[in-house]
Amino acid sequence: MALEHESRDGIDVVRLPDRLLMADAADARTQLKEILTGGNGRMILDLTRTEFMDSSACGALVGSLQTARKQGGDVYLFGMSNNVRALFELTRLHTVFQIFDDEAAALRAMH
Amino acid sequence: MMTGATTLTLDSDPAGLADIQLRVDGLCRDAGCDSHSTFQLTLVVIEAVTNCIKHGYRGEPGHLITIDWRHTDDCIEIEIRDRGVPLPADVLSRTTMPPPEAEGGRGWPMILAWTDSAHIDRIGDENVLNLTRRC
Repeated sequence: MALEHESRDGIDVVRLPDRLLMADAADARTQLKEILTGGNGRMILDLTRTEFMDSSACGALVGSLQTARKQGGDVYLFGMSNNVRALFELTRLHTVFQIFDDEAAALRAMH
Repeated sequence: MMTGATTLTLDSDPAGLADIQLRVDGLCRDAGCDSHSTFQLTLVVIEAVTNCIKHGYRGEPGHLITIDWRHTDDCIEIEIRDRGVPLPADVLSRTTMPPPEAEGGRGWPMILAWTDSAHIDRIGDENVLNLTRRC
């Protein structure tokens, strides 16, 4: 699974797949870390297509957040479905990630 | 809502989780669950099967996991069985969510949060997890 990734004014924008489960979570974690360490630690994750994710995926996202913050950066999210938002609220991940409705809002906030 | 029962089996290979997710999603929708309940109950099954693979079979493919699904007018009952080692006590003792900064430890609390009951027993050489959720 190769994550789609592009750079916008020094910010790495990464599109997550339609589902992210244990089978791919470790690979996703590695790719996110490589993108962050190859850049400046500022990343925006696009969850527009992501309809389903599990606790392993939550762990991968938290790992990327920790990597980014060690670099003085951050990871913002946008495009979250209501179901994924409910998962973030249950796990309280919504208290550690900044979450936006769309990419433009996330980019404005990160600039 | 209709009633019904079915059995799903899978190998203890993480690559099979995607197929189980789609199949359980379909069973929930056929049982009349709304989008939120479908997502939550499917995630519960995925977390439970992940525990079978990760803890029961220690990540080793080639072992059987069985999911028995039953739904009645107002309740869904799911029984998940494996022949691996029992879920460690420290996993079962995690009944509340870990801090949001933690990278792991969310699976069992998710199962507890999004079911009405969750009980795991060792019966013979099987780990048997029984889950219920009203719908």
